[in-house]
Amino acid sequence: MSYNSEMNRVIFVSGSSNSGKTTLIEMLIPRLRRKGLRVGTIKHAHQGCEIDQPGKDSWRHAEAGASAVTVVAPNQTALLVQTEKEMALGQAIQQMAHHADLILAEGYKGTQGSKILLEPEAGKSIEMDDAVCRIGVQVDKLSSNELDQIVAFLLKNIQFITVQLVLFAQLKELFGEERLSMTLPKGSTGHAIIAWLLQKKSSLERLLQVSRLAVNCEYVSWDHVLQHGDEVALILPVSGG
Amino acid sequence: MVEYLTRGPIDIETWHRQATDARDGASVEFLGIVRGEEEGHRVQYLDYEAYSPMAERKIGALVEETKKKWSLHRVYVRHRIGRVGVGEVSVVIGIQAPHRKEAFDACQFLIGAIKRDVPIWKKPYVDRTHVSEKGSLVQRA
Repeated sequence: MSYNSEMNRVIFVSGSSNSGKTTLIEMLIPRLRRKGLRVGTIKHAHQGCEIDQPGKDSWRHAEAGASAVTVVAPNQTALLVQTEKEMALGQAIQQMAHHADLILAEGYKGTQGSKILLEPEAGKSIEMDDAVCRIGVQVDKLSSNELDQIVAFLLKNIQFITVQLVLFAQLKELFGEERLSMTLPKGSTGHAIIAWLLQKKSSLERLLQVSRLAVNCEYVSWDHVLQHGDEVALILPVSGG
Repeated sequence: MVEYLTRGPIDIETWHRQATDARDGASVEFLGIVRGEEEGHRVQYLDYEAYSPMAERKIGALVEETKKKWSLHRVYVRHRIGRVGVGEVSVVIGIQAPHRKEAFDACQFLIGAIKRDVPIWKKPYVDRTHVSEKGSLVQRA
């Protein structure tokens, strides 16, 4: 999986401090979720982060020198990795790739890419070209209509591909279809197919764990990057002979 | 192009009738036959489903791999799809080789690889209850 393909699904939310970046992200996430998208976020924390609480078991593991600590709870999982220097943005995105269709990255002011720029002093409400959406007012002054325009900008800037999923055996029976058309963000891998299917039928988890991925009639790894127009099949354990 | 999958019965005579290669001194055949019992249930028939374009391509690749590995000239594969009754032949592998060891080894390899990698699924129809959903995943023989 190359970083380039991952960068296709990132939009930066930039602006000086107190310009309303976090508030805007809070306003956008529910609107994107209503479109069926899973939204990931990245916070660029120059001054370090204090996610773990001193004294907690996980904190003590890290203090003792663990290079990575994972805390697994019933409804969320936290991964804290110790890095010598700041993790590259592409790598940070890759960590979340299986869990998000679109990623909003707060900060990263100088980085190239599609972005929402907050300039609350500018006075002009919204101005957008192909890759930049400028917001010139306080974000709490944005109308519902203007927020919809920003969502449309985000969707236009995340490129999507369509693949055909062919279904066999129990999958065909469960979905009652032989073929499904799926729209995914460009750069999606086999993991996105699994996530999509599990969202529809969570009971599939065990079956999918023992399945293989085929793209255009060849077995490929789950990290295989899908292309527009691909024919994709989940090969459940076979039983010919 | 050879078609490895067939809806009708497999006519093994066509394989037998083909001229043998003068370099070969051994012929080994594997016939898979539908059993009348599956996990304690009496089977009426099996229904084989395939992802046909991929199955054809995959069998073709495995046949080439087998030929190359044992330097064979003649390899035959046919697999039924659709409904196959108890006692009927569901798969045939035919191998001809200079000596019996290559023929047996290649045959063993090829049927194993087909059972592992070719996207074909069987669904047994048993007496009384129609096995579906979870039950349709019957581990290979």
